[in-house]
Amino acid sequence: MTRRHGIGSIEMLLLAIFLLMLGATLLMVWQFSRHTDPATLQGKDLVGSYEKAVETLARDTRMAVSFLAGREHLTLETASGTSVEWGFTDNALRRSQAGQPPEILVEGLREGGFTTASATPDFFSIWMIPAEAGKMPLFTSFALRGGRL
Amino acid sequence: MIRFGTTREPGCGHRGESLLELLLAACLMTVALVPLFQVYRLSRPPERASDMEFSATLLARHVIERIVALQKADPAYLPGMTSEEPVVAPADGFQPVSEHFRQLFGHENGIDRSEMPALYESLEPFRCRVDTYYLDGGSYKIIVYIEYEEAGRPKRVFLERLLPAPTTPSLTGDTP
Repeated sequence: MTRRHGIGSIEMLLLAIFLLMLGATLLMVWQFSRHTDPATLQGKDLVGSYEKAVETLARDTRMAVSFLAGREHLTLETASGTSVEWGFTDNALRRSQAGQPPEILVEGLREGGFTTASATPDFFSIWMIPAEAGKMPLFTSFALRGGRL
Repeated sequence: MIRFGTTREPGCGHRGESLLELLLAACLMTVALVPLFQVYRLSRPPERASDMEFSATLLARHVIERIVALQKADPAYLPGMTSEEPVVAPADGFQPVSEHFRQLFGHENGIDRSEMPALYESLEPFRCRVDTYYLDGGSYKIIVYIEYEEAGRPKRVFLERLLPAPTTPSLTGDTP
């Protein structure tokens, strides 16, 4: 069998495959570094901020046994006695907990607040209206679970 | 004697083999593109739901959480099945607001248009339906549907939740 040279040679073929795989790897690294860091996603759009806030609030209410809600402030108490503060100040939704630095979860809000209904104990709703017209408001609710599902 | 079809010009066979090798190379390169595409697809961020789909999911969450809270307060509570109902009072006022969206913000009909116009308008397109199914083993499955229209097409988001059977007061013992 004679050895071929030029574009049809096995060396060129292997080189092309190698370059493709190298390109795929570089693309993968670029994509992951660009999109999979939640911290970079969070501040980029409002829905990302909403998602993060809802996830965090869901985690807090899962452990909470009682709460105290005002129009713009919410205090969640866990069975172990720790409390988590949520509040709307300076057009942002903030969360603070003893021993942890305060977090800003959603910014650029026109108004927002918490509401409860006397007929539904251990349950509260949160709503937010963005400052920018045309952006989606948020409304959802949480029930306290006290560490249970 | 002349023989037809057997004469070859110099290099003709070599060109044929080169073409074959090129095709073979193209095939292999195409195969090599499959992992390239897969890697690209996997490394893409998950597709972000539309704003309306996200809102619908949050509304379904509201209903599920309310049911959980009500059953925690009253173990005999079981949500009834409902047809599609608006989540805010419609402008024409003909249809009642879903029971899961009443009594919000201190109003019988929930979110009030004059008090919170932005929130009202964002929730106006959504309708809520609740299905309750009895399952073997005494538990119930609650399915909350939030329906809406987007780009002229009807869409629906649903969340499910298993609930234990409502507990009723014991019937044993002395009657008064």
